Amino acid sequence: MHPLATREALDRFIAALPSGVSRDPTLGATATVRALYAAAVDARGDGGPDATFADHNLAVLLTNAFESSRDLATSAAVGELYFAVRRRLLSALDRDPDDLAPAMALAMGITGTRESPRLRKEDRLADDFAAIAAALSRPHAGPRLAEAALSAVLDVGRERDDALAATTDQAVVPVQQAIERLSESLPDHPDLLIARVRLALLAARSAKDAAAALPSLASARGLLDDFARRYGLAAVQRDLYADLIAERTRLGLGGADLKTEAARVIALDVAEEMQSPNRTRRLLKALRKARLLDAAFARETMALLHLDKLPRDAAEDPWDEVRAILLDALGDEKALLQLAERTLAADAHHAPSAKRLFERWLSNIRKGLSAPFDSTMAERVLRALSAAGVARLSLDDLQGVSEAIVALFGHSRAFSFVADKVLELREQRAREGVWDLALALATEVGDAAAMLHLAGLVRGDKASPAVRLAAARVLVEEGRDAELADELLRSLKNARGSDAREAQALHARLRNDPALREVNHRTLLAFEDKMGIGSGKPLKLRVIYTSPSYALAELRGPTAPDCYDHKHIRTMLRSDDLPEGVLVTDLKKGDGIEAPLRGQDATQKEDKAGLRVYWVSDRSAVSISEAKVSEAKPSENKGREKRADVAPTDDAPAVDPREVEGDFGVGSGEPIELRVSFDGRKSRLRARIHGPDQTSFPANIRVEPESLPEGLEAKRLGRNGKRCLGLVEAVDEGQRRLYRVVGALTVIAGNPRRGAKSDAAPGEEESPDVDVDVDAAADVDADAAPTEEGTP
Amino acid sequence: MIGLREINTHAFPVGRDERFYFEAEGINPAELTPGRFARALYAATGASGDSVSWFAEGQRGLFELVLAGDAARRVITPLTIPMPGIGAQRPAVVTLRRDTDPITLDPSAFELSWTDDGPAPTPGSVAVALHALDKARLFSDDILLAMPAGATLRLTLTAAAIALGARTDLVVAGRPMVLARIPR
Repeated sequence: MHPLATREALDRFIAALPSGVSRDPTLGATATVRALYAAAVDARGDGGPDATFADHNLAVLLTNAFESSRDLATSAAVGELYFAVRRRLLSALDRDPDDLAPAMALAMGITGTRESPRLRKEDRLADDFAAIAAALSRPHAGPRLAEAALSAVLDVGRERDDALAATTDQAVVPVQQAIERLSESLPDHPDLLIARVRLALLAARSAKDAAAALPSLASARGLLDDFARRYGLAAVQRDLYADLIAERTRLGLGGADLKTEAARVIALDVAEEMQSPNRTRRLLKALRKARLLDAAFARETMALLHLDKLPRDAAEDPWDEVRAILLDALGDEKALLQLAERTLAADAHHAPSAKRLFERWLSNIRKGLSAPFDSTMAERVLRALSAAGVARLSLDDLQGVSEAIVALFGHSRAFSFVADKVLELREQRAREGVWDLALALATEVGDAAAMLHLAGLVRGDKASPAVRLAAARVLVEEGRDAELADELLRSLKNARGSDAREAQALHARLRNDPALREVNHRTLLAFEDKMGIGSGKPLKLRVIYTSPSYALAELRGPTAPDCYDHKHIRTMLRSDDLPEGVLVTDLKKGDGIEAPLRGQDATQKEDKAGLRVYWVSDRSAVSISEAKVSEAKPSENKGREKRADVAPTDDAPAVDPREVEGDFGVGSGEPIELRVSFDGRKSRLRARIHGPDQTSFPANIRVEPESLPEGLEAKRLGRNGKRCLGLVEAVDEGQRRLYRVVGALTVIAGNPRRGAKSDAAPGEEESPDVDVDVDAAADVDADAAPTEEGTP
Repeated sequence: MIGLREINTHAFPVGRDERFYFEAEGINPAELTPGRFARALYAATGASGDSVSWFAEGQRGLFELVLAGDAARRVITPLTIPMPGIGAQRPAVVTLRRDTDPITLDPSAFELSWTDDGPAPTPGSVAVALHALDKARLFSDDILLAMPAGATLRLTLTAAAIALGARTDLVVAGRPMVLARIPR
């Protein structure tokens, strides 16, 4: 870190200090440190004598500032300075390992900024602890540094974070060693005694079980007693006693002596007039957990602390929580309620008091009784109730509460409670009954605003169909948020029953909404842009439906926006859209096609409520690839392999049948070998010509039943067909060229499979004989002209 | 007709001018020119050179200066300013004070001096030397601020150093030095 950056960090620090603080003797050195860095910058040297002294003084400044910052603004400024110069401190330790002031500043910084998420986020804690540990291993490291390091380890170790826990587990070892080493030379040092107590408590916390923790607890107790004998018990040491009692309770090592010790600490607090609500609360909670907080103890403590009477003023009292624990132990329900009412009156957001009062109210509701307080307090309770207070309420309880609220304030307040407080919670939103309750209340309110409010909450949740329909209905009727209404209706309109019919009717009204159409239109245009529709780029399509005159293909890849009627963008393919010589009947479901698409605004007349329709934009850029083998059924795969001959693949561009007619003997006047098969589904004959090198003639040949040899029925040909000899001629019909068998066919004798293996070279006959899935090759209808029967 | 005229308040100095003084330590007064001081002041506080409106050597080696209002506001006193380029190889400093600063006697103020021509020892080496002097009482964290000033190192030590006498001999990184309590 350059001295210039440090100088600027100090500039920011000086500017951030509250007015008047700059005269503070602790922070007065800031300007001097800044001047040293300024001189280092001026001398353009880093690591020279000026920077060395500047680094040391910066570390001392930070340490003092962390020790003495007494207000939030100063603490925040000191924390910012620490984060800004943290790396500088580390590099200073590297440069002069004997100067341990930067290590002290690092340790103080970790403690001083433990609340800041930046401390964890920057992920440098391990480096900082390693540097501090290295500093602690130096012989002239003192108890102040050891204590600061221990505080840093303990403070970070309290965080419930596994990574942090691992870091502090490693860091605590050198700290412990340093404290033990120093304790040997300074056995009476009070700070080191306290540090050893804290280490013992840490060891007890880390122990596997109570038995393993016993020696550490005994050690902590012994050291604390020793300290008390020598130096008395100051507030810090009484805090440690409270820690010790809490730790014993946590480990289930409670005993009657716990109560005596807690009483001693509280009595000492009172004697020195240093009562601490936090410490007392921790002691009482520990005793309560150990089941040692009885009514007699509670009464004595109340008297000792003068808590038996509530303060006259309504302001929140820091002792209220202690008072509540003691009243609870006394079983004084009335006083507890009074306390909660008083606290809630003083602090309208006091959730614990609201929770206590709400629980009491709920108890009355379950018994069929009225609220134990007036409607003003009931309103305060409802307002201050936290999410946790209603998260676990059962549906019956919720209904009871809503009825009680209706009785006190009417349906409107009950609805707002359910909508704003209960439905805010994920747990409650997941329950259909809660939505139904909200719907019933909104219906009772009879106000469109309530229904609209409910509709606004339904988005993205699993409300019941009735709620979704009601919400959509009010949105459509009020002409509000058509997009949300569309979303709500989407799942409903595909169901059955009267609700579905209403949903469909609402959806029909909605689709004419110009605003919604505009939004959806823009959404589709954006999607087209993203997918490259209209760019001329070939896109991957998959055939999903075939018919004699057209096929439907859908765009592969991301799903279309919700406003599109299908999951994927669809286009209609006609023979005119396919490469020359490939007919739409050659396509089969699952085939892959690459084609550029263009979008076009749908017309109300032809496309009903559609927004956009899609067409192949450039026939010459269309290529037909193999179907994905993995997606086809095993029986179809073989046919797919064959179909590579029929339909050109990406590697083999489309072949114009006219160019290869001669190669296959079409129109030669000589009989050629054909495989004639029967398509049972379409009840018609078809034929294919296979070449010697696993190629096929790139068009289907039409066969009339009259051409079959006498006695051979078309149906007996089957899907694989029979090898026949026949004449094939080409006929031009308009712009199209069709092929058909002329005259009679002659069946070639012998089993084609066996014959192929015996007569031909391996591989040569494999292709025509094995699995000539003519059915898969296409729904052959060479002369079927495509018609525009609809839009994709 | 008399029109309104906007007054550019930035054209005027904000606040009032203030008088400061400093004692040159380890510096030959002849070397301390107003220009050098103004440069050091600019480096330390960002106050421009023209903000020094008066600069004169007063009695008993004290220098007096007057800073313009906006520059004076930036100076937090006492401000120790390094004076690079003065005092040959040893860093020189001046400590700027206001007339109104309280006069305090800091019992933790010490000065480490040496007789050889070597540079000022680092804070780390001083800490090692102090710990060697009293291993039970003096540790690295007893050294607070450390500022080289001419042929001396001014140190602020914690209360633990109270046991040190008015004048203590130290060996810092093999060099004999003298640690003396100083009134400040």
